[in-house]
Amino acid sequence: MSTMLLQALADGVFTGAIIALGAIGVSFTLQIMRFANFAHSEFLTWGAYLTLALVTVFGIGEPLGILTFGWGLLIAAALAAVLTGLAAWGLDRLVFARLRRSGAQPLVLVFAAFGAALVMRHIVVLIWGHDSYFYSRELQMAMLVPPGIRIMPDQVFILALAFAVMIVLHLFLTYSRTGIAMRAMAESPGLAQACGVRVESVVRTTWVICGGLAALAGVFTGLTPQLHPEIGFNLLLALFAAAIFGGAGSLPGAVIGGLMVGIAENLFLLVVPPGYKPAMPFVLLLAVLLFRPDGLFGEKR
Amino acid sequence: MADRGDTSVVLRAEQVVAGYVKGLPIVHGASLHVARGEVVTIIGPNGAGKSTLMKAIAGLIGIESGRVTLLGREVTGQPAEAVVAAGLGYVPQTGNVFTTLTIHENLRVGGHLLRGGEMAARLERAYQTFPVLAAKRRDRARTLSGGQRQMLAIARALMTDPAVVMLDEPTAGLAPKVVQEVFDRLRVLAAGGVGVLIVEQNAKGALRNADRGVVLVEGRNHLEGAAAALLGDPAVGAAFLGGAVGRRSSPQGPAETPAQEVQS
Repeated sequence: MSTMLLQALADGVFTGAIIALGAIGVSFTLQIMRFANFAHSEFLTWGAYLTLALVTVFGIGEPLGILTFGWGLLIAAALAAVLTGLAAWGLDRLVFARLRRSGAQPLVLVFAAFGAALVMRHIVVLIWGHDSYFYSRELQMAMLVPPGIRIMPDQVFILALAFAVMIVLHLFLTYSRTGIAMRAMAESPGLAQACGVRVESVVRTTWVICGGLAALAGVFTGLTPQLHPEIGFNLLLALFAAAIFGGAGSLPGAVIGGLMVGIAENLFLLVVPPGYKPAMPFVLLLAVLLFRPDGLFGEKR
Repeated sequence: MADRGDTSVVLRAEQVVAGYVKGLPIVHGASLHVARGEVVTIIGPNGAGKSTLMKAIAGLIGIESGRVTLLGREVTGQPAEAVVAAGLGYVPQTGNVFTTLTIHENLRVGGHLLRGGEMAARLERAYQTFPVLAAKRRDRARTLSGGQRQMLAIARALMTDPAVVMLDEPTAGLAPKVVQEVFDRLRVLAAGGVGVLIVEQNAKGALRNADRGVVLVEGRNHLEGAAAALLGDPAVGAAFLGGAVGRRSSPQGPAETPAQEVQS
């Protein structure tokens, strides 16, 4: 039993780290752009498929050690992150920025996001169809970690990479001029403007970061083990649960929220049939909203 | 102030019409100017458009007509960040510090437009001018007292070395002792050559510490003149200073006061 519990915890930390990467973007759009971007999950899908397109052309490289992929995939993922970030900004310019200028209510933006999500997902279906794809056909043996937990080397690598990315983001937000301006905007756009912060440039940076992180989350999900057009959509609720759990606008909140959702989902599976798994984020969300409406790390508005 | 030439005017707003919703202005053609080293206060009843006028000058809300110039350069209708770059420092009434950021980060956002070298020098200067902030630089701004917050807001607005500082009710909610401290600060600032524009609900206190006053009623200039003269004006006293300065028996009320009526 304890092995099962530890296995569920290990799996939970792994999925949690990926959810966290996606949830950071949801959290920032909630706080800085002030709306729930339900198209965010599609950035995961786009990132995953852009990477697929790149590795289809350039290859995934010689497998690094015991991993199933090489530098090719890592470079492709980095490129896809940048491209998805720019696409996120493009989507803002095309849809959300216009609505903001016309003074649309947040709810209008939410519905526009739903529409954008449908369009984005079906562009992927149009190009790649509904079939599943693999980045790599290499088979990987799980490592057996005492007292009997099975972990894939890919997972360990992805986990480390995800946390490295989060640490870099934390340093950026804490020390860089743009990072501090982003946090200032998150608290008070008007005051930030009165300090000389250009709203449009913060908006652009926010989208590029959110889109980029989502793309990485998409690639990591696709690596374990396959890609399909609903790869992002299936995580949508988990992303929002994690973002709200941690409190909108908080990076540590989104990370811990992601880990909590990931772990809770896997622990949940120990006691209830897998069919109930999709309900898990809702249960967590309800619990958090009941006891801490601003999230664990949220700032009171 | 009377002997100051026009060249010393750092901020000029002419016939500004502005509001939150286009077509529904709250300010209906207000005008004012602030000279280098001068403290000017805008007083008037609630809803007179004092704060709205400030936001319009700061570029935070649109201007429907009229002109705003900073150091002789027109900034009418430009976005707030451009107005800051042109030489304005603005301290809003509420939420004038970032409570979730540290004191140090607040000042860094204030100096967002500065280059690296300048930034270090201005931060140093801010901490020298406001030692209380230096002691708490790593603390979040939410831990500051009301007076300290106001000092941080002022220090933040000074990071870009503005020619004019606009403050919206800088003494609201502060203890009487701290109120005078804030006014003294602003006087020192003006003595250093900065133009200071204050909106005040505390009209008496503001006029005592200002060079000139502009009385705004229903979005229009109602009266203006030397602060001392306005303080002594019985009509102003009756309408805006709590009636402490000799009530007048004019049945028409303050709107008909002849003395320094503004022709518009």
